[in-house]
Amino acid sequence: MPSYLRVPYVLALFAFQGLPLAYRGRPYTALRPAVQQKIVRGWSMSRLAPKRDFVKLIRTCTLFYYLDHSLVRAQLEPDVDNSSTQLERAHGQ
Amino acid sequence: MGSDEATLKTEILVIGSGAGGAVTAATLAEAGRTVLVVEEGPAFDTETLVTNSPQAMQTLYRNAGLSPILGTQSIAFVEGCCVGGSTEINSAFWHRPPPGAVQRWKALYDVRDLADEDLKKICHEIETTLGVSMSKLGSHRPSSRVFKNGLESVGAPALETPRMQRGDLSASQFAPGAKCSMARSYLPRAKQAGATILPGCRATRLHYRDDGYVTGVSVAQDDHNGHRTLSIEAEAVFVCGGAIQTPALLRFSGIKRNIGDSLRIQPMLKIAAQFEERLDSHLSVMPVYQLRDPFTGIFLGGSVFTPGFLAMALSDRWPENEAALKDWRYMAIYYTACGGTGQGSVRAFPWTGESVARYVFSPVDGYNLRIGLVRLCEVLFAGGARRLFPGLRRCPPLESLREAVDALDRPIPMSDMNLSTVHISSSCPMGENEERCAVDSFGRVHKFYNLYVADASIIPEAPGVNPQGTVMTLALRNARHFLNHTKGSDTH
Repeated sequence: MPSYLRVPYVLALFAFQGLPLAYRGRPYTALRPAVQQKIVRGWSMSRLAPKRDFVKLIRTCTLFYYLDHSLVRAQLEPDVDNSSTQLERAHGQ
Repeated sequence: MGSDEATLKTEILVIGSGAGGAVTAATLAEAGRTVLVVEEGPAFDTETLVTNSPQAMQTLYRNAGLSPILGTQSIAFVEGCCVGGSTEINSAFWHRPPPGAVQRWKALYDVRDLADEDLKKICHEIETTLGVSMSKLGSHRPSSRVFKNGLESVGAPALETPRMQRGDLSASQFAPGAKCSMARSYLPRAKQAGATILPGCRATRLHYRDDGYVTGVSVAQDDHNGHRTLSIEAEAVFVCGGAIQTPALLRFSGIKRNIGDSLRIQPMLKIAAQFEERLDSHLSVMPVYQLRDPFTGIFLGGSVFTPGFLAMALSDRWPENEAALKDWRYMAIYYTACGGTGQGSVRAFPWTGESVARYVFSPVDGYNLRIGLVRLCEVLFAGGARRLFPGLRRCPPLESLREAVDALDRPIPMSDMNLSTVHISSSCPMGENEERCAVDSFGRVHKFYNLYVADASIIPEAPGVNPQGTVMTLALRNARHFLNHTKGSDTH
């Protein structure tokens, strides 16, 4: 990401992690999964665009990099010689 | 400039190696000029990788694919940052400059000598070089076939769009090595003619005199030897960094007149479509049929498909849509786009010079996208779609055309749309109208004698189609004009 967006991004990460401390007594990562999901849903449906954009950025990156990772693709489509795997082969990985 | 800077001298310096830079470099080098090309990104042989994979994103894309266009609604934008530029990562669809748009550019921007016949000849020449042709099998692939059936069912013409390919891109979505990108066409020609290409070199600032002559360019080079700064002296400089990087570099260098004030984009809104039949869209070329309404600029087409891209298309309502992912083999992704009647800007971030792009939508953009979405739903349901997942934050999955019309027959805030774009232009428009143009009719920056722009920046307004054909056509035309009006080693 461009360097001028890194500072706002890190601040948003701290806010996301720290805000639950104020009203739930624990940081985000220490909460139960159900509560975490509720918080993510709240941010993703927020009226504030920066909150929505923050969740959207993390969600889309996570989904794309996970589902198109060569190991996951190999599980999803075992009959296909995945080209990402070819790349890793070319790199000797 | 610091005394530790290495200094290079060349006759022609080309900054950027994408569609504009590669054509410019090859044309000038083949005419006997001494050409040096500096490219910010790495040289990577795309023979070995699929150019939309996560690995490719990290290697070939600027900021690993995270380069948003900011505004009241941020827009996802990707561009290449490698030798060959965005031609290494795009879909290789070929469109000539639309005649209607060319007429408009001549009338509104006073662009000289832009005759249709001349452009056609240049297009034909480029098409021969790039192997522009129809897919041999692509039109029979399921995701293309259902789209074609839908178009024909609603009475719309199903026209296949040709692609730049040496092999046949229908063999897979991005068959490695099949696409005729710049790294496989004009850049080898430039090298063959004696041009030098330096990857990993980012132009950081242009140096110029008050009398309108650029004297040199500072370049930051990163390679296996580490980081160093180069100073390159050139008799003529062509800036070809694309519609965002070019204005950022010019503005950071203090050249600001009409630079970066008129960015145009083609906003795009995607729909994931689920069909009864198994499509296996990930195994085939993306849908090769497109539909464009020349009057409204509304565009319908198919998009790249992998499980990761599908998940991104479903992500706006992920908790509700997640379950659909299990049917990914029955799905494909399509899009509607429009000409983009809003306007944006490009600025250089203080200190770093990084580009900051903003865009403000017009109400017409929102209307056109909504109408395009309804048309797309109509086509897809007619083609056999069972369920549609539009990229709208507050719109549930649609199971009939009636549901689609009910959901979309009211204004939709732009902030509800999951927008993206890959087609940007017009940040340094060309023409003789100095009130609104940054460069003259042949790409020379107004008030400068040896500084030129040759990329999508100079297209006066968004062409409404993939701009690569327009960029290459104008670059070839302008490079030949340069050759006809300057002598070798006598640019000054």
